[in-house]
Amino acid sequence: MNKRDVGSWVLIVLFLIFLLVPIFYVISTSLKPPLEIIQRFTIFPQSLTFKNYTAFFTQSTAVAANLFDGYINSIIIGLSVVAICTSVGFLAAYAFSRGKFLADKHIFFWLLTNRMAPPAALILPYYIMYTSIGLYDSYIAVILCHTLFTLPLAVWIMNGFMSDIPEELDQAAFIDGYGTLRYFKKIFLPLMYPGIGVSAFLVFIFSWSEMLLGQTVTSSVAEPYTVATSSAVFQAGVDWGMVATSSVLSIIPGVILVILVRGYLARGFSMGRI
Amino acid sequence: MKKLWLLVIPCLALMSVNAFIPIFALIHQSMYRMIPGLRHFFVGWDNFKYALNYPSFLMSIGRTLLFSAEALAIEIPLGLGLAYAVRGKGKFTAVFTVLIAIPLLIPWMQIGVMAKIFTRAGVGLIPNVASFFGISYSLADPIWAFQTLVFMDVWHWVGLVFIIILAGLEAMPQEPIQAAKIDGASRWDIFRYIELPSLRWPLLIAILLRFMDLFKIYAEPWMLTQGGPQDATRFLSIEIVRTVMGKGLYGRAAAMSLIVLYIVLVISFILYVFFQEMGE
Repeated sequence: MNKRDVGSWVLIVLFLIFLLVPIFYVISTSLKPPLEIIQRFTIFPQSLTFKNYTAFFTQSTAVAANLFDGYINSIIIGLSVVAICTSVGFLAAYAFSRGKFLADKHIFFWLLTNRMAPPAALILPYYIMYTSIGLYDSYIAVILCHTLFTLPLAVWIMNGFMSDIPEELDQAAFIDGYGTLRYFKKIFLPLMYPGIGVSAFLVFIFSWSEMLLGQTVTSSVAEPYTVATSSAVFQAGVDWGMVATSSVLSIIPGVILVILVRGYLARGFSMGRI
Repeated sequence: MKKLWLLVIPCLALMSVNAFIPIFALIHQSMYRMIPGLRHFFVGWDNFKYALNYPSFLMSIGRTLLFSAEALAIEIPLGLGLAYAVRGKGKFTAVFTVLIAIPLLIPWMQIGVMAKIFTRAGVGLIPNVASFFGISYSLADPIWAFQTLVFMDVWHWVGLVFIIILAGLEAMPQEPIQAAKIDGASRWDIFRYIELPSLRWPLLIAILLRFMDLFKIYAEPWMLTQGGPQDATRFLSIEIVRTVMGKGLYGRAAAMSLIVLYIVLVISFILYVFFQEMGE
């Protein structure tokens, strides 16, 4: 080992401590009884309890029941947003990557501005719009809101993957007598599986993470998990153990999904630009 | 395949519900002073003039830019350093990449919730670690509140910078580096004259992607401090939400929103030009 290797490992070890201590501390807090959390600082739980997790899954307290409903709501919303964004986004991404039409570049750019726009700027019109068409506090309202920033993401990522598939391949397939549908099924779609997978992953994560718009268009029935957690945090006499449990549970869908798309993270997170 | 533009229609239809209608509503509102349930007065550009002279709004823009600059100044070098330290270690690189990606999967507001758990006075992790080193830490101190959010943002997002730069490093051709080594170039010269120029696009993407999310930061400070103490964490999005919800000044809030959307439009145009050039 030379000096540079030693330096690398020192940086890696220090960083891993920085990275893992917060995760460890949240898990440890979720396994402590309430008194221990309030009264003193402990690293490991002095008396281990799984009460918070059983409360969540059996919905035995009002807070736990609210969080559980929010969890289910967020999964339903997330999967619906993924279904809409990957299908609608796939068509649009194909048009942008293969076609030339009026203002195509401008429309493609305009999509990006919606990914950048602060949702805070839009909460008032959203509230008025969804209330006036009678969709306030419905799944449809939250799903539609989330497509504002997830659909541009899906279009950009899939467009990035499509531009790697040479147009000559399209032409070669048509010359060989492939019909449009057969070409898509046999050649184009299989090449696009990673692109579709990683955009579905990111769309789900962004929908799962969103709080402000969800808060604006729901009050109870369709409340996403983030909003349910936020009410648990701001209520009087907050149960820190339950809140820590909600943080731990919020990581689980992402961790399951990231393993499936781990090879394509850079492409996905850079919106298909790497 | 002449009718390809038809495929964009479902996408545009969905986006118009979410983007066009609210923007027109905002433009309409920004021209009026509204008393909810009562009546509207047309006031022309007054709301814009008010917003552009409103110290709290201007301060929140400055604060957001300062926060973005500080977070970027830590995340970019740290991500770059980690990418260099970790690359080419086979299985370990793969495991490390999955570990560093974990914070990226946590809902943004949960980062604020975690910060709240860590900073509980007397019994939280951060005050105890700080007092172990003889530092007195309190979330009621404006500077500490601001720095806590920077700290949590670095924890949350340095993985993004790392992943993008590592991908850039792995795609880099090795021949020029070998040739330079044979010619006796120093490690620093190789970095400065060969590696850094070919890392410029990944670096630029990382900076711009981080900037666009830092600029609209809301959930983390909202959960941790709601903009306090002494407005130290009152970022742009919080300022707008407070103007809408707290004071009910819809016309002014709409004017602020349009100003922010205009800034965003300019920044994303710069971003887009860079992305376009990169494709060539």
